[in-house]
Amino acid sequence: MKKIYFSLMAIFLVIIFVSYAAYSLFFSTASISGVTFSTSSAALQVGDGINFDTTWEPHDFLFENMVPGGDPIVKDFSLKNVSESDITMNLGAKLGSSFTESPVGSFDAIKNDILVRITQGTGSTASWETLDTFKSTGINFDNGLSKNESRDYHFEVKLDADADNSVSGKGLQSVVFEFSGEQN
Amino acid sequence: MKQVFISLVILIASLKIFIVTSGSMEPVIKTGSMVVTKAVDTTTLKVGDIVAFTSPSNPKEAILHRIYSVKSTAPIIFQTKGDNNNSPDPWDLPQVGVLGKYYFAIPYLGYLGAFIKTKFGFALLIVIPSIIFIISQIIFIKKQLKLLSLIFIFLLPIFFAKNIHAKFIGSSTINGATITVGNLTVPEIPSAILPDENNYVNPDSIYVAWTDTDAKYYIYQSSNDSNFYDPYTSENLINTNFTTTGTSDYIYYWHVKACNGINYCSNWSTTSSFIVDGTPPTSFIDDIPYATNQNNLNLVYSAFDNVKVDNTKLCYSFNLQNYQCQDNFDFNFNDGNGIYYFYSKATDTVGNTEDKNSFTNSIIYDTIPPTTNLLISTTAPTYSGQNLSTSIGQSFYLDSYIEKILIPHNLSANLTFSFKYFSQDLAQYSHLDVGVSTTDNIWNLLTFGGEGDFDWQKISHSLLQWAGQTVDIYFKLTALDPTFITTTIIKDLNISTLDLRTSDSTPPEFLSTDLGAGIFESSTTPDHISSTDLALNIESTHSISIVTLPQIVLNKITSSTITIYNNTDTSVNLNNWFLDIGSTVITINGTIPSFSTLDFNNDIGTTKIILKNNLNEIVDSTTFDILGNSVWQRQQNGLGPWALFNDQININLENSLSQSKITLIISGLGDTSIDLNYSINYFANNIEQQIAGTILPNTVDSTGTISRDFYLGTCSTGVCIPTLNIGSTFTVTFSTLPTKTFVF
Repeated sequence: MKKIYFSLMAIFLVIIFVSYAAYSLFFSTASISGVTFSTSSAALQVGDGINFDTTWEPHDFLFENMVPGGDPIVKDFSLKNVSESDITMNLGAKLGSSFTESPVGSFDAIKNDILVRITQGTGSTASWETLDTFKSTGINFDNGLSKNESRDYHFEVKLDADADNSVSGKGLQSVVFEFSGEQN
Repeated sequence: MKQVFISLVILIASLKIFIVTSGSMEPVIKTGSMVVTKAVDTTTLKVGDIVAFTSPSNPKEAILHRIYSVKSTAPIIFQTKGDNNNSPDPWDLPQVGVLGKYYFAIPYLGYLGAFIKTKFGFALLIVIPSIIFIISQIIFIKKQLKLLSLIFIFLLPIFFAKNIHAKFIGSSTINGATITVGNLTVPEIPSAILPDENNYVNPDSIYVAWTDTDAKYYIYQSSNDSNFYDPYTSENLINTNFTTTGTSDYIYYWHVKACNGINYCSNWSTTSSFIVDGTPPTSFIDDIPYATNQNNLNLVYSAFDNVKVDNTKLCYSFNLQNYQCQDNFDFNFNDGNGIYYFYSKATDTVGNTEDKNSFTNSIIYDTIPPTTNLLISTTAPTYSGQNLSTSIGQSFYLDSYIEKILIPHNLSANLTFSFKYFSQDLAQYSHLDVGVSTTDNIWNLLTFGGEGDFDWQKISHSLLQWAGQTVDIYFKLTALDPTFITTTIIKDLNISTLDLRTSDSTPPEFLSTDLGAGIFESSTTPDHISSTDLALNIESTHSISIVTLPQIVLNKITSSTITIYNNTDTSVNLNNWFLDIGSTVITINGTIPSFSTLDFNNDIGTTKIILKNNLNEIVDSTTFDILGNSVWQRQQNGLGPWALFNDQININLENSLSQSKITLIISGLGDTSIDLNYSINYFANNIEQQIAGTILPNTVDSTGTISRDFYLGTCSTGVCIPTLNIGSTFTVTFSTLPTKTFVF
């Protein structure tokens, strides 16, 4: 009787497991379908659209003398997926933490008033993120950058129109913008 | 046994199985591996541990990476990195995102899992075994039950294994960016500093300055109107001053405002003003004398300006050379004699300076007195003076000697002679008459008679009154009674035009020379003359000393040749001129060109030669010893003394150019008594060079030879540097000898 009981329980469990598995496999939009394996490595380079490298030091990436409500200061850059294998990247950017504050305490003073976004083309409706967010969580600004593909972007910075005089003269020097291409 | 089972269940419950789909953790965990993780206390995790975690950027995604660093411990935040990635992950991993710590991995088993997740794999490895299992349960086939149970135990966990990424991350950076906020503070209003209110300024350098209010830039504005109607507005000025030029004279109002880097500007500053004055002053120097011989000159000047004269300088130039200016108008002629030019240059208090570039006054500084001589016309025939020695021979009745001469105009000629008189005439009727006769009259200068043998007497008489006339000087011996012998000997007859001026109603002509200020006046005393120049330098009085020369002079005489020379710049007609050579008179016909010689070949058997013109006037004469092979010669123009040279003058120039040396050798100079001026001309580096000197008679050796060595180069402090590139032609020129050219 005990064996019969276990057999019935086993039959019941198998039916339950197989039914759940079948449902998961064939009816769900979850991530278990389409398993692919990839090898080798990924690499992302930044540049002016002509020349690319993992580190770019342009002389004119200056977002200076911003005023409340002033037009955004826009600087152009390009990213290129130079992965050795066929890796497609989702792109993100963050503010590096190694900047110099001038004067000291500037980041805290301006982190919620300086707004940043990365756009493509014209008429972008991408949302503006604070410098604080840009530093802590970064911005995911594009997807699907294929192997050997490069795309042009605008780095836009502005001072919030409601900023008060406490941000006057504050600034960051030697700022590093970190871009990451996460395997899709 | 029960405890073991319970522990095994707990262990299995804490495990998670993942299929590794990418290779960022290679080579530790290869793509396609089946990874088993174990739930752990996240506080025990440390750097280097491999953990599975939910992707912070995609909660539906699991990632298997190694802990790269612990960024925070409260709360715990990890930074992760794939072993095969070149940079850490861009996200911060909170501890709550950790799914488990890597436990172990089975390579390639993930591919089986992937196969199970295909429809075919699912049917083959799950559905069919399940059906068999159910059937076997139904028919109680125990052995199969055990086998299939084992299959289920193995396959079902694999089926439910999630995919996990050892995710590839590429990264890059833009370095060196700057983010700054402009200065939102409005700068303070600047205050005027310069120029002082209502001050005069020079339009050439209008300098406006204001206080520094720490602005990014300033804007300057000026206008002739105090309300700044139609103002001038500057560009953005970085400095706290503004310089401009060329503004016309007027009062100008100005103000300035300060702006920060974002163009926030202060209000305009308080209006200030200044007055532009571009009008320079004027000045002039009072008249000064034409010339002076005093070393100090106090110049007086006046200067005027519409505002105020600051200073006035005295600018001067010596002989129109570079001018210079000084503050002092008390001037000393430190550059010596010459012409000094002056102008004054005034500057007003705002720096406007007179634009003067020409001199307004001048003065001649002259401390050298003039020199004065009488001017003798070279066109009139003159007489050089004779020294005749003659005698009026024994005569019974009348004997006479007459010289016809032309007395130069304006000059007093003197007749001097010595005579010795002998007469046996007791009645004293015999006598000697010396006088001057012209075509109109006769003037007896001397009558001497008496019986006896008188000693030599010397007579001198002025011929002044016949200046400019041709006269006969006659010496006439009258012996009325031939019974008694009367004889007179005349010697040292000299009719000299080289005499002192005595008195003459004819206005004298002066040849007055002054190299400085010029002649003011010339005056004469009975026997002296003197001039004064315009600088009031007075020439020391001095005697009149004039050398007068005839047109035609005797130049050179040998035993067979007489050479005459035309000392004028025009040719002279010599028709009916003649040379008296004692036994022979050579009549001359023809013309002698200007400054040329003319030779007459004739044996000279006498020691005296007289040249007379067509009026039978003595023009020139000379007396000498028997010449033999010697040459009796003087300078061509008749100046200087006569000198006797030996038969042949030999001039030679020896070549020692390898030693940068030449040697001049002159032989045959005999007992010459004149200075020989010479020059040697040659070329070096295509530039003509000259050696010049004088051979004095006392330097000629007993053989009549002189030798001179010349080094062609430059010597200084004992070191000589030879001249290079010396030409091959040397020309030797003498004052009294022919020119000779040597080519080496």
